[in-house]
Amino acid sequence: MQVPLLTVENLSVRFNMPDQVINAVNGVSFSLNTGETLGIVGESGSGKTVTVLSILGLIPKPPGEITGGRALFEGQDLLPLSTEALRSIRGQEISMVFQDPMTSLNPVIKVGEQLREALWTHNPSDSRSNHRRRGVELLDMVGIPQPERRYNQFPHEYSGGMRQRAMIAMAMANRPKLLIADEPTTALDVTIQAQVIETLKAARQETGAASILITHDLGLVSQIADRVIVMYAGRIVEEGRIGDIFSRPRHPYTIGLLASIPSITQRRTKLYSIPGQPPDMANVPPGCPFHPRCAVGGERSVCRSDSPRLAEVGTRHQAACHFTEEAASWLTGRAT
Amino acid sequence: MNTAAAQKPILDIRDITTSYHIRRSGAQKATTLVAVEDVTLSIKPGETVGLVGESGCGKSTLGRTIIRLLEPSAGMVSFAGQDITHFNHQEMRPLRQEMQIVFQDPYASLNPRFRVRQILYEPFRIHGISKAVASQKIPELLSLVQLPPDSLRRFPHEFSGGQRQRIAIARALALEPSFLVLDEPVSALDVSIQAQILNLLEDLQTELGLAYLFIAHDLSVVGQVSDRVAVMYLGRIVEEGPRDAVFNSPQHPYTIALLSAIPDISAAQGRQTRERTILVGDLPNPLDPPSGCRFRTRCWRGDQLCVEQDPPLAPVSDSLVACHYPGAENHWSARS
Repeated sequence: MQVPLLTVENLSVRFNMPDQVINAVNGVSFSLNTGETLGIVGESGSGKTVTVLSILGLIPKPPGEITGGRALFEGQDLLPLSTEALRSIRGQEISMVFQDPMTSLNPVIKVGEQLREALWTHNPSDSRSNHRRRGVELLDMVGIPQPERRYNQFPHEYSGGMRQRAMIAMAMANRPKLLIADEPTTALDVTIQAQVIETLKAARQETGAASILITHDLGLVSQIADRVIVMYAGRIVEEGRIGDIFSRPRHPYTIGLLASIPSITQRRTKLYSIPGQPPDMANVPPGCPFHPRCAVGGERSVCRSDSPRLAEVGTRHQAACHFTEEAASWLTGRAT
Repeated sequence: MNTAAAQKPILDIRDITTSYHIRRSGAQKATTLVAVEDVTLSIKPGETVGLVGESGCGKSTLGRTIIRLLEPSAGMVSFAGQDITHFNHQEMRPLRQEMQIVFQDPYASLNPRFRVRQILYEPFRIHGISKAVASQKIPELLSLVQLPPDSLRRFPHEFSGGQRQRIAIARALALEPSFLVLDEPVSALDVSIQAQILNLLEDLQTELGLAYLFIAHDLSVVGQVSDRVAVMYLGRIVEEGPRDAVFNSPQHPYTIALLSAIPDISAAQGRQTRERTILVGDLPNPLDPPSGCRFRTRCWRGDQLCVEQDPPLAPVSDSLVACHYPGAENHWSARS
């Protein structure tokens, strides 16, 4: 049995605001093996980003507070670590790519210098020319044309797609064991998005890193991830391998989401739409947080009173719903 | 959505060119950016024409020129049989009741200091319609967009993104227009809410016989709602045709690449698989477009002819295509 690279157990995070408490993440557990890609999907406010940021010690405290759980990276719990200890892990063992490359890059420092700094921080003994050579190599690896010339340019001389590639190059600089990408292509056009995704795949292949992709885009996840976690109201509502989640979803939320995506290959006469609004995170409905919008459980009393736990519904496939069997037949009935 | 085959177009634009004058700091004279060039398009009553393209392709400029928020530098715009190309502000005013626009960001397009009642009253006030008539119409508008009656007393910040977009749609419908420009109306919304708004727009069209110009960068959304689709690249329409023709047998290499770049969930569902065409490079600088065909710098079919001659839009099977070497590629294949 393989020991997972990252194991998150029962993570809970809340934000103590002046007038309210927001329970952003509630008892989230998952694990990730070496070389594996995990997709975390959910809509805004579902807790997908907070989950990952809190593992890396990147949420502001206060108002943020980790109220429970563990995050074991190679057996070491990251949550109690000091800022300094975490800093040496971030960028070295674990690195991140964010949504907006322009705000992640320093606009007044040449891209090459920023790359060199990333290399130097974690490997100060190496020579300047070695850092430079490695920097150019990295730009070349992520498919930036004329890497020698581009090395000496400023971020504003790069297009949006190239900036995001440069970010990936930086994230890969120290051959991390885990790469976390938070909506890495959301700000990009579709043709550029496709290029960046190919770059991510290639970089992952070359370094053998495990990765976590956070996104609202189920289509994107379907192309790159091995397994998926679906989050709603700060909880995991379904988890499974790609094929199972997309072909045999068992949670009514996942089923609804998949049915509400327009497909280019098959035009649906009418899209399914999940009724209602995403929950107000300061005021999450009691019981199953999805019950007010659910087409399966809906107004049943157990859904209104008891929050369902994640339970096995297949091989390496879990869903948190009182009526997964009914959800399955509802799906068949809809025959999307 | 609607079969309006024999009807006269409600909107007809011929050879429209729209330019911006850009004064660069330090430069002696202004440069001209041609954002839209030689575009011809018509929309029939009750019809939805989808306009797609990546950022900077001129789709929003075209939308704004059509409703005469911008004046074209060449060409003709006619609305309901009337040439409005050079109408001034005063002359446009009665027509503004007929043509409305809904913008992408429902956070920026609603006045935060106005209650919903006042937001919806504004169009009536501006067009000198009595308060009595308005107060009768306003509750009807709310129910048209499926918002509860008590919304009238509330401010925009009390609503979610999807609800705000409903308010913006209600405001656009206040004066009973026959034509709406929808400029990325669902791009800022979560997936589950996006489907709600798309369905609402479809219902409103059926109920009120509206014509839509639906502008979006997301081809799958456009494919869901459109009767006809026009694809823009660097200020030109490169392909235009019936929805199914453009989606099922795209002829222009750019359309082929755009469609293939969309991460579609059907592969993960085991329904279909396809070869992906990934474009190299970025969009050329619109201030200095390539000679000949504008797409040639990223095209895999191009040759010397494409460098020398700009291909005109010409009929190819059911569509109009601007390419010297049009043709569908067999990029769809059913998984056996």
